[in-house]
Amino acid sequence: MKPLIGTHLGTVLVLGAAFTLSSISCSFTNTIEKSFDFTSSTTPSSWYFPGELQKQQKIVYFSRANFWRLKEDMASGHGKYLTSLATLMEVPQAHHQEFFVMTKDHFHDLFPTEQVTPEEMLLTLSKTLPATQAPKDEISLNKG
Amino acid sequence: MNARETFVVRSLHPCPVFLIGLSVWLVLSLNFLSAAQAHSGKERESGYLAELIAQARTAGLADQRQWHLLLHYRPNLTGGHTSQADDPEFFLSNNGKTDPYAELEATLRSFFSSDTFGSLHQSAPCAFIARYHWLKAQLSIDESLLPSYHCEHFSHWYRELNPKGVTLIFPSSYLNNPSSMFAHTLLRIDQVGQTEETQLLAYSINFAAQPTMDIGITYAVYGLTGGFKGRFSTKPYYLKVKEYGDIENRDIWEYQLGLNQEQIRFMLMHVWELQLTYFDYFFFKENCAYQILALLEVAAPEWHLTDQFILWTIPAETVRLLTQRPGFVQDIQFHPARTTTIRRKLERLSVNEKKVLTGIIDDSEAVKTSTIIQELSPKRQVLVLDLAIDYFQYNSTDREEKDGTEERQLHRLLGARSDLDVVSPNVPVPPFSTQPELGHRPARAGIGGGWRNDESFGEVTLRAGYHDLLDPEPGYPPYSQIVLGSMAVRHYNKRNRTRLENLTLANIISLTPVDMLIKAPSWKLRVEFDTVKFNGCRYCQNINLNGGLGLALESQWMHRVVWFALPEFDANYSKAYDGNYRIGGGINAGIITNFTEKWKMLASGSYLRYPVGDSSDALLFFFGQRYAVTNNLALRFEFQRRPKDNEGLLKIQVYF
Repeated sequence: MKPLIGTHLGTVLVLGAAFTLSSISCSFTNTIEKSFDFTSSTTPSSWYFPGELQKQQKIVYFSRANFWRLKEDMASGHGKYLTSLATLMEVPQAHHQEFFVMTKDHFHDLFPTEQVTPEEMLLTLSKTLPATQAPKDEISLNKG
Repeated sequence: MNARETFVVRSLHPCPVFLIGLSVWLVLSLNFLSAAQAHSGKERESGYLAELIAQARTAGLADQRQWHLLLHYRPNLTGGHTSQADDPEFFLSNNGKTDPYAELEATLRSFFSSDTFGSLHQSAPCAFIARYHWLKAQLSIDESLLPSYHCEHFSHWYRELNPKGVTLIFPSSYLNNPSSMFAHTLLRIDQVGQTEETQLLAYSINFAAQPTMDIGITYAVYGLTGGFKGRFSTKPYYLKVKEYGDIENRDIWEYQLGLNQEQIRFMLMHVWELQLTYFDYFFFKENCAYQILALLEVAAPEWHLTDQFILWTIPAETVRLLTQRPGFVQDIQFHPARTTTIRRKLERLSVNEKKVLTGIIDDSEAVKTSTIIQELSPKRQVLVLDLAIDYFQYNSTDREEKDGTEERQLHRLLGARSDLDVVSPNVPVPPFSTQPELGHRPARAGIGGGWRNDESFGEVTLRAGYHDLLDPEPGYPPYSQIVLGSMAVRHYNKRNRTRLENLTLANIISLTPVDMLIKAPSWKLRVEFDTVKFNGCRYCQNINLNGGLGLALESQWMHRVVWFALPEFDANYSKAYDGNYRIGGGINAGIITNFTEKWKMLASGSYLRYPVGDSSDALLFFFGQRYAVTNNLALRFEFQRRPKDNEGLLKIQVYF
């Protein structure tokens, strides 16, 4: 497999967002629904995420809402959910295929047990990516 | 001495008292000048506002269709207009709900005020951004004469949506939820740079009721009478795909609409201002499909979409309306539900592969240890494995937390799948039913004649909606029936008597054939007024409540045949019975098949025993055939046998 992925601050933000969000106590579907619902009376503007953090939150929300679908796509090495994750992580289109192969090859690392959470998967993913000895600037998880 | 002279004199003789006085004077003068300027600004604004109001009156803007659409005004019974929006915050005039003129003037006035609106505390041009832009264009408003404003919240939201196109989404009907029985529509805002693979990341615009109680009688009453508030929301499309496709297992049809960028932007501006209001939700008329049409009308006022729906708005009919506009629907895509995918994949497995599949599902360890699976080619292994994964996903998607065993099994299968270095075969998943606009129209009228026991009769029938088991199938979920508001009037020739023979409030049947993977129950529910012959009462009026829960199977010997058996309960109220009622239960079983694409047959029988009330029993038999001349014209023959009561009927039916 062609080496890929250089990471920088964005990865740290992904992880920070992941663990911050993992501390939210209510069930995740409700959290997601409310977070994107501008009609929610309890969080009137929570659909509105200013600045860079929004991108990281999007990755985490998407992974949490579609965790089993993502797991399925990663196991088979393709699919809409995996492509969407790659897009959210700003993996350039030209490197999507490598990203897919990488998640399939590292499936057992990403999901060592059935109890792995989306946040833990993202953490492992971020660790796995630089381990492939990619040139630093070839692919960035977060260019924004 | 005037002020100017004072200044000159004192300036020649400076002293502390003089300097203090001078300072006070300067401050007062500046305040005066500032107040004078402000006053002059106010006067200018006030003058400009008056000018705009006069201009709007001359142009008759409050009578224009676009203004009515933006405020959701509809003609009322007194010849005026009433808005369908129900939150007072949506109106800037106290009489805004019923007075388009007052609302327009109050809106213009608000552009000059510093008042803020909604939870985001936006100025009027931002909170009511579509109204503002429309009025600005109509009146050529000079923004330099208005207080400055910055709509950063809207700008951020709009950037986030990043719109390129709009797709109408139609999740097919879902009989297990009363509010989704007639399907649903929503919009997907397709993004710049979006591909088919990334459309999950787009946003959706959805209108839905916010029920304040669980499903029940009160829920139904509230849903029918506008007791719930309906609101628009903007959520990631992947949440909707999860909700409709994965959890509720509904096939989704996607219609890419031909709106231009200007229309899309204006419609989204209107969506933005709708966050300030709600609409009383009426299940039949002002429902999701109606409000989505109302949005599209804002984008294209010349279309008159909502006007086409007087008593009820059926989502499939709104899709039909849109597809009838030449060139408006540019592309149609099908997104299968998980169950559709499973069924289609299952059709492709050999008997041996089905055995392997069963083995894997029973014990996922077998995927590594079983020699049978190793004997399959890698591509067939992948097909079987993918199907087993689909099954576990289907079996547990409606639960956020899968139980431990299922989670372990699924995890093991996914691990095994990742070890196979084979691309999943691209299995085509055609729908079991064509897209909704190809179906027959929902209302139906029929005329026919027949005999009942020893006399002939003529019959006229009328049905409000929607589809029964013998109606032409295209466009409707197979083996499902929703009949609402149906009546039959008969004239019995021998007795020369015309009577209401049947009035059906609801008659719903959902037959879901079970297979080795999908084991959903089949069920039915009927509430009707009908005519019985019993205990010497020749034609007695009867109120009937019937329901059943059971199973259906499908076979493919010569034709596709569905077999069903539903244990049922049955309650009747009629003067024909001793004590005026009888309550009991029994079993209803039958078969349904299509001999050809146009010719369909249904045969069923029931045995019912009534231990409560008039103790009795009944053996019933029904046989019906339909031949579809066209999609909206059919011939039907029905034969019914009840104890000492037989009838046959031939009729022609028109769908409209």
